[in-house]
Amino acid sequence: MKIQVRLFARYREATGSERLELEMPEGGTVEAAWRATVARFPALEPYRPYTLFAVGTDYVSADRALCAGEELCLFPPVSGGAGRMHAPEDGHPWTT
Amino acid sequence: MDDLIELTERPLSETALARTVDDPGAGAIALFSGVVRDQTGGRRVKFLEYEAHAPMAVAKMREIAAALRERWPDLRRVTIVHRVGRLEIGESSVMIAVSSPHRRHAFEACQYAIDTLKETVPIWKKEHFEDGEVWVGLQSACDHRH
Repeated sequence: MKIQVRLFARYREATGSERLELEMPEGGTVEAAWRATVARFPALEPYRPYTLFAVGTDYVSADRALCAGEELCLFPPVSGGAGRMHAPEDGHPWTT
Repeated sequence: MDDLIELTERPLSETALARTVDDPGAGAIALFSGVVRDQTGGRRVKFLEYEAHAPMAVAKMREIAAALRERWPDLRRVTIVHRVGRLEIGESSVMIAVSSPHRRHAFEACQYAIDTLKETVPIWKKEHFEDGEVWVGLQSACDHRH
């Protein structure tokens, strides 16, 4: 299946790309899409612990299965206050 | 009454924003404005750039407004507006206005809204300095100095 990946802010600048298309096996996860993206853009690798994932208008966890045609967004930490740079526990956002 | 939630490239005005939460039942209006500062850690800031995932940012701001109404059911009106694009020193990047019958809930709701917004709304800030630029979030490893 094909999925779209969209990069924001520093990730877009670090790779020089805003969007890419990935070919993945059916049922491939967010984590698998991340790895495929890193294979194409090794500059992203160190950012894994800090990355948030979203599909549509919601955050998703790394083990979520993707569907054909979905757009996966890779987010650097949002611009919130200093001192909030801890990585999210399970790849999930900093919601309470 | 619908909450006013918006992402905009236009300058924000305190006066205009306060007016959006006018309500005859309100005894208090609290307004928070986040403003572009002229320095970060001693480095002189020239200007800032904000980038958003617009549809998701708006959805997350709506969720915040809904959370406010759940926690403080007596709130009258809620407005949350964030600016994107290039911002100069002294300009406001985000404004939140809340009206309520009494001041305490207006203050509390306003603070909760900005704290939550900073953590959940997909908006990124890039600081442009005299000698380089940096996306706020991860430091050192990602500092793009020229």
